Amino acid sequence: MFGTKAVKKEKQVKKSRSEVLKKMYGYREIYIMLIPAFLYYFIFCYGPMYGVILAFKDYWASKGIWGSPWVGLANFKEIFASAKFWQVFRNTLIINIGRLIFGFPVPIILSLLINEMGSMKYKRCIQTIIYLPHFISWVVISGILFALLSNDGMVNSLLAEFGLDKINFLTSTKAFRPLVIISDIWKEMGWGTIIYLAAISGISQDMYEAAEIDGANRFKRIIYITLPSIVPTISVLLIMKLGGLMAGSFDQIFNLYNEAVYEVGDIIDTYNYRTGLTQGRFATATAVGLFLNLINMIMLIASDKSSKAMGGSGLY
Amino acid sequence: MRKNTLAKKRMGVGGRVFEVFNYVFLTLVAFTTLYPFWYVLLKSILPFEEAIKSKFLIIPTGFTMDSYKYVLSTDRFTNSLFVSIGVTILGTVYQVLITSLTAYAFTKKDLPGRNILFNIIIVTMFFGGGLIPTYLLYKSLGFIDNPLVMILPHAISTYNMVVMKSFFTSIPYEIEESARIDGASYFKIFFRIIMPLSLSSFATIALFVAVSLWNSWYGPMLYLNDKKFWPMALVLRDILVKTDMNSMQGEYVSESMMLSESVKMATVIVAIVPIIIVYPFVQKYFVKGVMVGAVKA
Repeated sequence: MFGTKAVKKEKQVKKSRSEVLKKMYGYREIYIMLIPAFLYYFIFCYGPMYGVILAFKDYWASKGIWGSPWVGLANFKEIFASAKFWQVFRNTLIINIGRLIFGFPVPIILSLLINEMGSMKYKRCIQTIIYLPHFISWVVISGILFALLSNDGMVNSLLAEFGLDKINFLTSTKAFRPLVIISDIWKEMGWGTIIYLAAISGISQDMYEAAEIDGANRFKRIIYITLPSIVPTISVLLIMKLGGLMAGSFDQIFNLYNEAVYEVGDIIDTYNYRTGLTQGRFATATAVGLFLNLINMIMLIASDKSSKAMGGSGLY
Repeated sequence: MRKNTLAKKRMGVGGRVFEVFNYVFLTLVAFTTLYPFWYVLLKSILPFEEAIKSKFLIIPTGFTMDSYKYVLSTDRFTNSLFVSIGVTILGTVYQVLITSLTAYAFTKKDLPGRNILFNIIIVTMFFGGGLIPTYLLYKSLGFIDNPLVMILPHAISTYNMVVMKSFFTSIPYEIEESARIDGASYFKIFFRIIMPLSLSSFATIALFVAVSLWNSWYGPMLYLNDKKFWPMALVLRDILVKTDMNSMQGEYVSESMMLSESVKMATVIVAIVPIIIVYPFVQKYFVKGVMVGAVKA
């Protein structure tokens, strides 16, 4: 009994194996299409992962990554004992939480308001304008901000006009974090509305008509129909944002900050850059990078899982 | 039209006040978005005497192209402009081609090994080597002072690939099937059928890729010491960073500094203009692209 079953199974396996090979042959062009991408992923994404072992080594340039002596967790001990590290850790968190609290609701409110516009032409015009800054790099935006906020820039000229004291926005430890948060809101608020507007456009018109018949006014329709309908979108985006709470916005900070504001504006990414590439402490910087990567990975996976559990799309 | 007037009739006073407030508010938002760009544009075309006395710039009170002439006649700028244009064009073709081919390959649901291959890619979205290991790898690959560093490592964006895959999946399979029966190869199907049918997604992805290549400065900053390879964005960063500390704290403004200020602003404008020119044409597509990216699972 068992014998015949086993033979049958083997035959099936053989048959399916040759079928798979046949299918693979049929798809040979498709595999060829995948070659460039996988060369890229293996060289440029998996390649650097090997270098991560530097986090547990003392890097000697003459000996290379592999030849450098192992030091166990010494690099991590050094990092966790440094006050500077915890300062940039805190800065990263504070700036990101600020971004979340002040920045997250803005696109929601904007898209609710844009949706209420009657004139399609005007609506499209507003949308075109507010999407624009998303495409402009932080290099350019920092240039614009320097021009607006410098000592003889527009904002300070206006302050002087009204008899107020000039503010050194870019070197003031009080002004720097708000500057980072506000400029980020300014850049991304319009872009953020796209997803919400898409969600709103999917709401059934019947609900609005029914509500209108029941005498619901505009505010009531926004609060009882539009807003609840986009709550799933809001929660998925919120979860994804929470997942990125330790992810730095290197481009923005690096182009805006200067030594005067390191105390409040230096984040893990920029600190890591200076430690590694300016000071040449490769092993320490690799350890910082690995630590940051692990935190981000855990948070991303957690947010991806919870967003999927809520019926959202997740990261991929 | 009729619906609109009906709605207006029912709006009531509160509704009308809201309507007015809404238009005014959103116009203000649009103004705040555009004004900084306008300010920079004015700063770049105003003659020195005008720029120095102006406060809240609204309309141009003078006009000179000196700073643009300077920018476009300096070797350093023209050179970087060519580098940026070259990198953007070559890099976009390269990345869009690899991204779309990969996306198309992954639409084959019964491709043996598909899940393993897909997971190999997804892992890289969650974990990477980090700054220093990447730097050391690039160094050992010979990317230091090699302009190819601006293109080769930008082969594919996983996110764009996933978005494109969902675009391609929406194309009816029957079209492809009948081409297969006629003996068309997968490459032929991709270039002759899939590509023409998804021009909007290609336009969207190409815009995103082109903009990010045009804006890129970080890679070049790390790996290119030789300034003749520098793209526009990095040159811009260089002159902005070099002078901003002086103008932030300096009390007096000299003419040469003012010139450099307007030159900086002209550079900013030159860096923005290509994006502004291309962007409205592609806008109707990318809204769709982002939506698919958001809705897709």
